[in-house]
Amino acid sequence: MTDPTMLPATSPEAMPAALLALIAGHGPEVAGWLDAALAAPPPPGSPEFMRLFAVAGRKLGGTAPQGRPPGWPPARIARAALLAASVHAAAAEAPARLAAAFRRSDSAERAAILQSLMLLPDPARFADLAADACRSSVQPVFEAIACDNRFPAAHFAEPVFNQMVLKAVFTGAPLARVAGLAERTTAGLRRMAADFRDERRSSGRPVPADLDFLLDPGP
Amino acid sequence: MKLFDPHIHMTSRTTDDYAAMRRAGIVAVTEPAFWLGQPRTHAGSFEDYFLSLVGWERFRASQFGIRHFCTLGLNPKEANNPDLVAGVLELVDLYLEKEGVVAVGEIGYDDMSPAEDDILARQVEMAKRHGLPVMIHTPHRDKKAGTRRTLDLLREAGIPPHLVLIDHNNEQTLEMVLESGCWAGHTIYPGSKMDEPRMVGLVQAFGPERIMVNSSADWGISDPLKVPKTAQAMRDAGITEEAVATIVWRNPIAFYAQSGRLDPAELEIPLPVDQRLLFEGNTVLRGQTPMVEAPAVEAVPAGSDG
Repeated sequence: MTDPTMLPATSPEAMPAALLALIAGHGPEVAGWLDAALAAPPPPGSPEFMRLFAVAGRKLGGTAPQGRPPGWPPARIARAALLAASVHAAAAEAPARLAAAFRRSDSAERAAILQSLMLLPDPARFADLAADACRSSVQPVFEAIACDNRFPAAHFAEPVFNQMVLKAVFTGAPLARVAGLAERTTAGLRRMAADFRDERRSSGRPVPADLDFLLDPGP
Repeated sequence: MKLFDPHIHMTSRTTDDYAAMRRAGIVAVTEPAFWLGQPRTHAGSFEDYFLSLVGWERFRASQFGIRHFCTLGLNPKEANNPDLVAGVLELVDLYLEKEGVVAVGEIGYDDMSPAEDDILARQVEMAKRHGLPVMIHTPHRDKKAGTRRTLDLLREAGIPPHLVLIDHNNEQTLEMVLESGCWAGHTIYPGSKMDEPRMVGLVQAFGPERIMVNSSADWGISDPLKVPKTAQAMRDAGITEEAVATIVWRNPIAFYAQSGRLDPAELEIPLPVDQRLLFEGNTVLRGQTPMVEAPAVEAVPAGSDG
């Protein structure tokens, strides 16, 4: 099974089907259920959507086929397919609708929304939602946007990206998993990292090794 | 020695904590309004929270002989939700007039976003209008730059520094805060922010003037006895009783008394506990015999064993 975010570029209409193909091995009952859901996708955040979104976790939870990509259990792919179809159908209302869906989601559902952002039509529209998700204290939710996700490097303004990177250092999310970090590292981010190193030194506490990703190689 | 914890989130703590705090000599606390670990989704949730801070929590503290004050405000994390802002600021404006509210807070920066600039500035204006001091949270990330930006904004807003408490200081920020003329709080946490030995070092370097320590105890790993423990660490390091009392008692009182809602003379008199009392028909007791103390006139015995 491939990482869904590595799927070849496809039209917004075709994305749910491409995702569906990834979980085709789950048997006719699951495929039928998902087909029906995708045929008439309810708007994100509506009660019908939230019910399907929750049920996807139970329908596909706990069954991890061989070779699944890390971070993309089948339930998450199914949720991504639902999101892609519903967001496409919601057209211009999608940002407000998706924000409502996010607010009503539990932690696993939120992580699924964040991980799916790059699969949605015109993802730049969801930058506010993604920036807000960086404020989460629930580590798996924070890591769903900060780690192994191309969205921040592609769509975050510099202050938001820098705060996210520093929070990753604070919370122990490995910087090696921040996609596009090297391209987005600026003088501002290096200055923040250097200040943080000074703060740790003056408090007599260890400097996180991950800061080396950001700091200029010292003398 | 009587102790004042100028920053502790008692709503998150148990009655055992209240009892232990009182035994350790804490007779007054300030509870700043903040977030609940996850963001609220409706402005109305803040109204019930503010009501509990001026109501049930104040009563609960009194049942253990502790005077409870609070600060109200929209915290920086939730300031980033545009759906909340207008409604919550209206509520803050309304509830700031309540009994026991001694400052606007905790307000300040988290991500240092434009929304946080705006909400901080508006709440500083609100404090000026209500004649209240402000209690400032400094950010965890990019702390030094965030503290400098806070001091710049406060200077531009024209609030006198003696009405400002800048909290969560460390070795990187204390000097600039003291130079600004503001009061400087320090959160003594197990494992982050500041610890007792480092705090002793800061007091040895900078003295006790305008310095406070607090526990910021909340729903996370934290210790509501950090004020008495730090007082003991300062004594053990040879810091005078006079200086310790300035830090853990006189300074918080002097700062929050500027609100006009906290009477320093009254604070010297122990709060008699009467557990027969009810709050809206509710009690902290679960079948126990109510403890009733006679109104005391003598000073509280020095009970802090750290």
